[in-house]
Amino acid sequence: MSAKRATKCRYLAVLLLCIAPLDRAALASGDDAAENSRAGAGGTVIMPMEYQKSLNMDEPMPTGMAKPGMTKGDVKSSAERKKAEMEEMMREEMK
Amino acid sequence: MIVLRDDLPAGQIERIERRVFLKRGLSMGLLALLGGCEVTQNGSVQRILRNMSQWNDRAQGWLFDPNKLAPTYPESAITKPFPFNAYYGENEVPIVAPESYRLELGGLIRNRQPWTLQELYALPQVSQITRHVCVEGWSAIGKWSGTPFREFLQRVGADLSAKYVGFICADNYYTSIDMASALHPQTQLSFKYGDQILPAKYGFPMKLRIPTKLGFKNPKHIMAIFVTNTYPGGYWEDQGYNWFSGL
Repeated sequence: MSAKRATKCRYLAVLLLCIAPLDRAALASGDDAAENSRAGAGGTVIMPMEYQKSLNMDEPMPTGMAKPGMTKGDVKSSAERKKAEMEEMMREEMK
Repeated sequence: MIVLRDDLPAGQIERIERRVFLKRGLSMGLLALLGGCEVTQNGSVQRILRNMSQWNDRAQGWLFDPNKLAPTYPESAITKPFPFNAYYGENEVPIVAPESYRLELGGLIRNRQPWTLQELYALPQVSQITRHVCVEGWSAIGKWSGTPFREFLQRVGADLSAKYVGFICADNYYTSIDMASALHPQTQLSFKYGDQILPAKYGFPMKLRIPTKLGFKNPKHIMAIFVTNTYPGGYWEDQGYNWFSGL
């Protein structure tokens, strides 16, 4: 193996060693819920996900507040749209 | 007009009588009253209704008295069982692990360090026995304990001159309130119901108890709180229900 190639291999090995702990931390964390709910850049907040694994998204809402055609999944869809709107506006607000 | 919910125990749900309904009609909002009717999807009609609802919000904001307390009740008046109410069934309530829970803070708050449940439980707590009023036409009296929201906002260095406080919940529900209502003495971050740690069905790990507003302004399973001058709306509010919803 040439000296140049050996140097490149050493650099690559160092890079991989730096990245590996970060991957292990992400995978090993039993803290999925907390990891999914962290403050985003600029002090905005990332929406939490997946606390309701049993929720059937396609079912109608069992509440008198619902309008015809509303399903349980509508709340999540709306929340995701709202998150996108608010994060951008709040980042501007905090500049 | 008397509005009843048939699926709740008879005699234990307060009837919303006509005069009370009319008195609270401003809070219900025009769109909520029209919820069961055929409403045209015409854009200009929707715009008019939205403008009226926004005017409604401003009027309620002017009328809001930050010193007027919601009625409180004795223990004997507590509704048993307190009804479960959500956009899903009781078997679908979100399950939040207490050990990994962190209350996230965002927006115009000086100290946005997340809070653990232990830290939250260590805050000074008060109790209230107040009436939860649902826009569907029923109400129930319950006992909640927690920390006054005003004190929490002061503690984290929230900008109390900002307009809105928003909430993000583990069931993807979201809503917001005006700052004046957030600072009302009876607005509470509740950790307990009936002197017990809040059960999942009633909003574990934390809910906002705000007896000066309709029930859908009392978010459960709160995961994040943010302060902003940008109107955040809310799930039901974005569907046309009145945003201020004062009682």
